[in-house]
Amino acid sequence: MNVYLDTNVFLIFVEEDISNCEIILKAAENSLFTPVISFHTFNEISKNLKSRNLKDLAGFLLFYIWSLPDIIVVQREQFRKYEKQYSDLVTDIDDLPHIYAYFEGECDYFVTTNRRLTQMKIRESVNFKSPKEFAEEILGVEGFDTKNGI
Amino acid sequence: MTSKVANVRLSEEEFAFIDRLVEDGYFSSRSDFIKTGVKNLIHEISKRKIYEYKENREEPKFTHQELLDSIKKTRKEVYQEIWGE
Repeated sequence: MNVYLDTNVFLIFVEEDISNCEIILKAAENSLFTPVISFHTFNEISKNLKSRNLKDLAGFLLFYIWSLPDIIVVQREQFRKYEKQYSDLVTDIDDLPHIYAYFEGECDYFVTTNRRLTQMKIRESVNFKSPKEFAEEILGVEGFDTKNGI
Repeated sequence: MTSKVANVRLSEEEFAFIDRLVEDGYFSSRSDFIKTGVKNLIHEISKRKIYEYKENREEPKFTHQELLDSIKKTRKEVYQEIWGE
């Protein structure tokens, strides 16, 4: 089972004391699914944490992600063939690289806390799950009752 | 990712252990064993550092919504930098 993990899953895991994102990452550590990310993910995490003067943490989080078992990182060259495909189905064009990575990684699920994205028309083509939904429905564990299921 | 060669000195006992696991098919080679071990160690140390941050940080400067907004902002900036739009 290939699962696309959006950038917010990693940053919420780091910033929130309790989250379903943490449950999901523990499952990834235990090889319960194959995590898929985009090369954008590394850039977004790095930029976000560095903008908050958390450069060291950024480094550790990137190595943590890179060393998750069997992780698939979809690279820039793999996006070219899409040529703005699906752009009419999302509001924010900057979400597209993550959508392309989902397809390129042949994912079964796309885990995100981005409710704006999951309510767009693209939801008809992408199997979105909130972290709580993924933890409970797919991993079969009891999730935390957190805001937006984070 | 480019790679470099590192010479590692190990004891006979350590080599015997590794060779046994290679023979049993758990690893494809000595190199595979060592690379896996290094990756696992990197993972564990990185995770430990992340939890140190989580345990020792001061009160979050961001509310949950501010965190989500900052992630959104970062996404826009990275997209513009990479794709020039």
